[in-house]
Amino acid sequence: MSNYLPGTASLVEEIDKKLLVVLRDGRTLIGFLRSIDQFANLVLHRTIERIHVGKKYGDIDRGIFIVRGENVVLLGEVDLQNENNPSLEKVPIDDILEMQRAEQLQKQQEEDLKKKALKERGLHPTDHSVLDDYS
Amino acid sequence: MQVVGKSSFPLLGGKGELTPTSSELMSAPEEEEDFDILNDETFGDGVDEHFDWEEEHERMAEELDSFSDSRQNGNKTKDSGFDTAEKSYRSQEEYLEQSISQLVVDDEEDLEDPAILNASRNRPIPQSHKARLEDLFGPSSPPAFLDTEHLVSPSSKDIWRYSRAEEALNKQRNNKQSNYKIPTIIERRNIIPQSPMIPPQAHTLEEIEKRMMSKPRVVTAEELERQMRGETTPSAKASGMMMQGQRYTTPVQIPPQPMVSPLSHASPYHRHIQPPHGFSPITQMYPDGRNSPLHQILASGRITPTGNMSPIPHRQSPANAMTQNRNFSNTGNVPQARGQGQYGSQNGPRGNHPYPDRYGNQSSPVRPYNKNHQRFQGPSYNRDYYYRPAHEQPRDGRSTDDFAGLMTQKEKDWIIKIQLMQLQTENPYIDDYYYTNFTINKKNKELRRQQEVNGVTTEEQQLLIPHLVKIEQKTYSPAQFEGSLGRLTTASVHNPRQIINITRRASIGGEEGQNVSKELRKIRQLLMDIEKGYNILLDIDDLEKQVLALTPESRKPLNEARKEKIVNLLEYFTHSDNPDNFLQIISVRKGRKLLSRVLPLLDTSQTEVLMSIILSHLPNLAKKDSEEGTGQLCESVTRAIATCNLNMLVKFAGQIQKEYHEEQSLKLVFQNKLGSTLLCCMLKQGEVIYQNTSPVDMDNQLQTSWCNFVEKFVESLASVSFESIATPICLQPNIAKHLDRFINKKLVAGVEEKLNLFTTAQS
Repeated sequence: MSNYLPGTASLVEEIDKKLLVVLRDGRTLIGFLRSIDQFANLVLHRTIERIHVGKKYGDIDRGIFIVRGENVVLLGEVDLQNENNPSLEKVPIDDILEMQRAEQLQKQQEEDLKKKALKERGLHPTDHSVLDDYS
Repeated sequence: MQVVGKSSFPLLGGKGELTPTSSELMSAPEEEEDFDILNDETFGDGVDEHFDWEEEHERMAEELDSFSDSRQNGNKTKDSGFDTAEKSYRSQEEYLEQSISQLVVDDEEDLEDPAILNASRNRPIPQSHKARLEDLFGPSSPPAFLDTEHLVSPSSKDIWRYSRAEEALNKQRNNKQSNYKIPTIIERRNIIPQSPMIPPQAHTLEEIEKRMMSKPRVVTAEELERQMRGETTPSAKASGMMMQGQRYTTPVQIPPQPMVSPLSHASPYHRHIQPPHGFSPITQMYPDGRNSPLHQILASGRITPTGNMSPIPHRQSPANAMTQNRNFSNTGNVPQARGQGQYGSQNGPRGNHPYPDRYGNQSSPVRPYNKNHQRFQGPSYNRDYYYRPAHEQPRDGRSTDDFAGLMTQKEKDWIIKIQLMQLQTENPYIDDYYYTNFTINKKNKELRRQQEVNGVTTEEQQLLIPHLVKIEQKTYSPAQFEGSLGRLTTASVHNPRQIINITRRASIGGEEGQNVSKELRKIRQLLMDIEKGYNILLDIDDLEKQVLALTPESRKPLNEARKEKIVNLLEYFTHSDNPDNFLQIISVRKGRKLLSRVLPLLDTSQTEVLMSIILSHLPNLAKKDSEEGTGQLCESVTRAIATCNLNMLVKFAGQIQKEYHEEQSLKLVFQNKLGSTLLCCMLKQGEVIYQNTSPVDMDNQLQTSWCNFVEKFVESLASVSFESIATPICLQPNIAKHLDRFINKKLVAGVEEKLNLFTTAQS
């Protein structure tokens, strides 16, 4: 906590750091935070989008991102020393996308089954795919 | 505008039938005047009978024409910017100027609302007055003490704006600018402060795009570095860049290459160049690592060219560098040249000493720079390393973060300023209760610790909330837009305006009440009463807090109010009409807790009253020993007894005995925590009294009664089995001493073991 903002947190201190940002739609971005504003909109530089499926992950280079503040779920600093030795296995992008698709498909099937079951019991199914405060 | 359910759908507020007697409809303003009131509130009372929009419009039209005339005459000072901005520009200077004045124009006088700050307005009429925003954010504004940079830079919403004095100065310079065809470096330098970041950036982004399209490949950082390290091909590109760059004759930057090797070349430049007055100081004021190498470069007065611009060929001759300088645009925001990164590491040790102070007092930091870096390498060397803790990534000696410093310190400060303003509050206990208490407790702990060390007794701190007199807020008059048809709403977060009137019909209660049993209702009523009691407690608390900040005179009414409330509370407990009342309260945990919180607030006589009531219900309270709430009661009872005099003690003693009249013994009293606590406290207090008052002063009768009580105490203690004694909440070592006064030693010895329960800590 900075000395002029006691008891608070400010993104100002995270500038030029490598951050991992999780967005509301579930995406994970890793990039250097270059600029912010009062709404916590972020400018990420050298961003990569990391897709995780199980124990594997794949990166997609994205370049510069401007993220609207309201879409950020959380963000945290990346530990540069331990960054390169996670317990996860890196795979090529295409593979991970395939795996992601497969996982999505499976989830969708499960969801459909659940929805059907709920409907049969007379309950109204809700969509939990989007992390939203309003639904 | 009313939206009231006239439909038959209950959900929409209708009643199932069209009943004109529906209460909502009755209360809805039927008269036009009432409508108007609502409208006026939203739109503003623009009832200016003299206001004729047609006339206004014509006047504006005239002015616009005159502007275009003056524009052509080269009179730039009155330029409003709006409609002329899109017209032809003779040079980039003029464009720049347009945008500058456009920014000036954006300051609205009526724009009090920060929430709609950035709404652009079409106001072709020039502004000769500053925005009231400066009252909000400026040096004279209430939170001005937060204005870390009000001396230098933006006191208004626009962070690119500078203080008024500088603005005036800059405007003067603007005038001069028109006379220059080929600006020299010196002049360019002067332009820097006023150049707002935004328009040039827009340009440079375009510039970048163009370049990106013309360039076949993207120059990566590594490539740039390679180029800079010695390949000659870049120079061709550089000149190519120049051609494009020439279109934007925006302020120049001094390339950093003079810093590295050809420092001797650099020296002539530096002498000519005045550091920009009021240039955004990238300072090292925050020694927490926010100073990347780039910051230091910037701080020492060099602004680097934009990223995609030609790499700075540091092997080139100074002359080339000069010409290149002209064409580099000043963009604080566009990533600095990647080449900077490598300079950073090399420059680090060379002593980029920061600006002397961040308020723009440029007492030639540049000129002595050369000498500095040669002579004073030592201290600046150390300082640099001190200032770069957080960004010490390049252990390998090579700076990897070439884009650091994109966000200037000024921008960061601006954000921090906004955040600080958001933290301001008039009532921290409401807005941030836990943090407030946390800091107070921490401070008090610290004080206590210091007290132990120093032996100085300073009063424990309590948060003083100064009663800030609210600055006279002008009654809100909604902003009026000129040139618009009709009145536009400017409702925002700070000026909420009712647009749709939706009200709920009061629920018709009582229908369901019949189902609730009487008992349940009674219990609920009891709980409600207890809650009312808590509310009174809260009010007392608030009053106590407010009192702290006031002068003794002004405290009086508050103290009166406080006392009144305490009396109210007491009365609640002592309801004479319903003797069961107290019992009921006691039976509820909340009631017990309320009791324990009220007890400390009472004065002596009130304490006596309440204590007697408590004691009269001692058996009942004893039963509730295991339940929550009694612990706290014990504590407050303890404290209350500590304030008693002998008279009261005797009275209490009598009462206790009365309660346990049948057994003729206080045996049962010992068997519950409250009871034993009570007795021990009483004895302790007795001891205190006996110690402090001479036998002469004490009433004989009281003494005898007290003596009796003590005897009883010992008797009962003797008869109680050891195991069934409940330990009091705190130990009273003096009891033994007190007993010795009255009781002979043999008896005392008999109960010594049990006494130890009360006096010494049991392992």
